[in-house]
Order: sequence, then structure tokens, then C-alpha cells
Amino acid sequence: MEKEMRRILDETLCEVLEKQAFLFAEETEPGDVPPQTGKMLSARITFAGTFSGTISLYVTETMCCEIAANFLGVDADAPGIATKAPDALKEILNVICGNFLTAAAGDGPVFDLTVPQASEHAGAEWSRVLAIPGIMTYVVDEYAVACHLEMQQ
Amino acid sequence: MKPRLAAEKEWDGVAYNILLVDDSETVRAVLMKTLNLAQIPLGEVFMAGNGREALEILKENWVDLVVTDLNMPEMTGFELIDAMKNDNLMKTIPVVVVTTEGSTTRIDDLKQKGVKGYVRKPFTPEQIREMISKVMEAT
Repeated sequence: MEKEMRRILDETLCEVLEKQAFLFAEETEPGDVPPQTGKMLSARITFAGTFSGTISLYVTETMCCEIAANFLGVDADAPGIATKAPDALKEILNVICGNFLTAAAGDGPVFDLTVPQASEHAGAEWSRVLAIPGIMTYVVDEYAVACHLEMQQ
Repeated sequence: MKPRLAAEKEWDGVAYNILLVDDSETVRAVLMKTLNLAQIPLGEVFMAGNGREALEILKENWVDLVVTDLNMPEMTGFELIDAMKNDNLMKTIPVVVVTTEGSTTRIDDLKQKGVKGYVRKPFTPEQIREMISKVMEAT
């Protein structure tokens, strides 16, 4: 079941990144992710309903600025964009989670979602993230995007 | 949050005051941009980060339309809609929900509570413009 859930999440993540941030994510193996520099940002959301779990999303700060800029329709180096990046990441994750749940469970069941939380990490944290069992990894313009689905039993 | 002046548009008819409620500053900015680009006659656009802030704005300002998210901290969109429904003045204000919510059970429940429109995230500016135009024309 978890494998099928990851497949659905994979499709949803790529679709939302494309529709909302105009970014095309290419799936890759964790070991093939190019070395990342700079800070890493993460966002996390928990859902509960027919099934329950947590989705975490990890990106480099540069990638996150690009998400925010594309979302807002401004340049990635626009003034103040770095301060908006965590908010944009949380919103992207919120949309991914909502659409994933409908794709996985249909439009009948009701799920409760937490408000997404964002955190900032040192770039060195990438090695820990890429080693998480079941981590889904992507490359967007040489920048890494990683996503983890943890289902509750 | 303070009201922001909307686009400087020439308009010879009624201008609508709209309240945007979403905990994401990014989404509020995108909605604001959409409103400015749309052919919707705007008066003032107010912004709130949750239901509680929205109610404070509604108590002190004339608002013609509320556009709200559902999943927000402090006070959710569901709670905001319930509070508006229980207020004699606020219950007449049309509400459009913009959310990631995909459950037909919840959407039907929102319709029962009088919500006039629903747009699912991720949305396009066209979807927002069409829904708001449709709701405002009907009122």
C-alpha cells in the first residue's frame, strides 16, 4: 500500500510543481542527486482520516526562492523573495497534500490537515535526508527536491 | 492587517470591497494580483491571515465578498463561515472558498452553509476571476 501511495504522491508532487510553480521535476535516485550548496528548507504537514500520515518536503533555499518567485510571478532575485520562500514552500506542500489525499482516497472521505510548518537547516543536512528510507528525490535545474511520506499504522 | 487600495481602475458603476482570508501571504498576494488583473470593479481589498482576523475586519468594514481558505491557524475557514452565518449582518455576505479541500462531503456541507463558490487549489487566475464574477453577478 505504501508503495502505491508513494506513486500517487510522486504524480501529485510533479503536477502541483508544474501547475503552481511552473517547475518540471525529474525523478532521480537519492544517490544521483547532485551535491547541494546553501541552506535547506523543509516543510511538514500531517493528515488524519481514512488513513493517516505525514508528508515532508525538502528543497534548497535557492530552489525555494524560485518556487516563491514563480508562484508570485516575479523574478527569483526580486527584493524580499527569500523572506517569502518558507511561506511559499508551506503552501506548495499544503496543495500537494490536499490533492494527494483526493487522488489516493477519492473525493468522498474527509481528512483533517494540520497547518504546515517550515524549518531551516544547514546544507549538510542533505546527506541525512537523502538517506531516509523511502525518500523520493527529484532534480529541478540541478537543484534537489526531496519528499517523504510517512504512513501511520 | 490594514486594508490595501485596489487597482486604480476607471469604473462608472459599483466597486466591490473584498476580504481575502488565507494564512499564506503568498496566496493572498497571488489573489490580490488576480483581482487587479481581472475586470472586477474593486473598491478596497482587505486581507486577513485567519478567521479571527477576518471577523475583526468584517465587524468594522463594509465587505461585499469574502474569499477564504479553510485550513488556517487560530480560526479555520469553517469556523469563520459558521460565525458569519450566526451574525445577522454578516450572513448576507457571499463567501467563495479557495482551498485544497477535495472532499465532496465537506464541499456539500459548505454549500449547505450558504457558501456561494468553491475553487480548488492549485487555481488559475481565470478560475478565480470567473468564480468571483459569477458570484457577484448573482448578488
